Amino acid sequence: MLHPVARSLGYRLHHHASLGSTNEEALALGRAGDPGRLWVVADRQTAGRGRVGRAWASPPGNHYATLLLVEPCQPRLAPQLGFVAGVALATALERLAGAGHGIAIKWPNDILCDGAKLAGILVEGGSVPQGGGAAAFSAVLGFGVNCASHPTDLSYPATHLGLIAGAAGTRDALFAALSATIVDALDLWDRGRNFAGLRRAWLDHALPPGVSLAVVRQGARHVGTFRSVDDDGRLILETGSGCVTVEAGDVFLADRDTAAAS
Amino acid sequence: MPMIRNGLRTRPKGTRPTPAGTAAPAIDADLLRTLATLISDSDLAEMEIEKGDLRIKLVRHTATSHAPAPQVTTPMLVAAAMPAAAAAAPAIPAAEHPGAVKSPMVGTVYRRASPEAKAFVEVGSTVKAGDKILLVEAMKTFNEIVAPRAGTISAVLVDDGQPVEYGQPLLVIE
Repeated sequence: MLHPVARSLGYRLHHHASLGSTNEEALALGRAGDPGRLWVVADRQTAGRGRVGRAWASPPGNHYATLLLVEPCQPRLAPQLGFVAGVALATALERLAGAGHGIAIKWPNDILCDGAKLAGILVEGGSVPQGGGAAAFSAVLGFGVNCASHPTDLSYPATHLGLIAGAAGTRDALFAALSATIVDALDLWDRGRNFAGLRRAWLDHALPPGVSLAVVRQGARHVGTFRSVDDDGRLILETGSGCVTVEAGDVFLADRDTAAAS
Repeated sequence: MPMIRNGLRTRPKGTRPTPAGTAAPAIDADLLRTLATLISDSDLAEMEIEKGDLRIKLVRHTATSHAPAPQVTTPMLVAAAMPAAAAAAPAIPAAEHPGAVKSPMVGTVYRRASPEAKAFVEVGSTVKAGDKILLVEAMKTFNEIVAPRAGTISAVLVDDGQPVEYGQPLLVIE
């Protein structure tokens, strides 16, 4: 169920028992002319996916929801939407988990709880040709959250919301909370005019500076100390040879198993 | 700011590049060599280092086999230090083509949906308006680049996994 605040602002919900991928469905609806502010929710996904086409295990009981936004910002600002999504999801999860939760965002927008992966976000931008070479920009914000169970066959530890928030940690409770917190995060961001403010909120919810991170990119692994994110949202990692900014790659906690998934 | 392939640019933070004919900032050649070695030994696509008021950014064209060669924005130093890098930077005529599709953002370009998948398009592929032709990733946001019009791909100007700048031509549809 959508939060009443979201409903009053014209957000809509399409609920499916099963979909290939909520992101795919939302992108297709955007291409077909949907005006946006549409949530696509599935009880299970048969082709759930993560970064660079990786599979995202999607059994019933967990949260698979995608928000379609049409023309949310200029296309070049699309990467900022990942930070909007991260702030919204972390805030919703923290509300359900209560005090002393251990929930934190790992750059750019995975959610960990005490170092174990709780949720992943996949933001994708699409464009709808309008003729004459012009195109409308649409974006989908996909939220995969382990609520009732978590996979145990990953190269890194995972957890689920039920273990953290108890009976309050259901998929439906999370979706209701998230459908409201995303409204707040989008308002704060103000179509990119206030990325500075959104960035501060993101840092408030992120792993603390000083954590050791490993960045895996195309098979090579680099370890450094998390310092911050820069004004464009890139990861600032302090290595033995200076500060490095990272714009893409897989990021792991360095003191955990960091077998490369790519 | 123009993209410098296999390049390295240095300038004091917050300043414009030194105009030709004025004094160049002192550049530590050993530092540049160390950085070039560092990025060529790594798989990082981009590296930015700050030391005092000097800021150095290295951007690598990851999909080529060239070793990254330092290039400095100060004209004197380009000429003195790295003629090879200067020679590697001529404009690609296809980039000026009216059918060039340009990157909507700074990021990493992918020619396929996953490492195992086949490329969305190759030179010679026929596309219709709205067909997915590339992906650009920036901070885990994946953006579909779709064909703005129907036609045939006459040139692909980027390699899989290559960093791209805002407005950089990616491929040409004729």
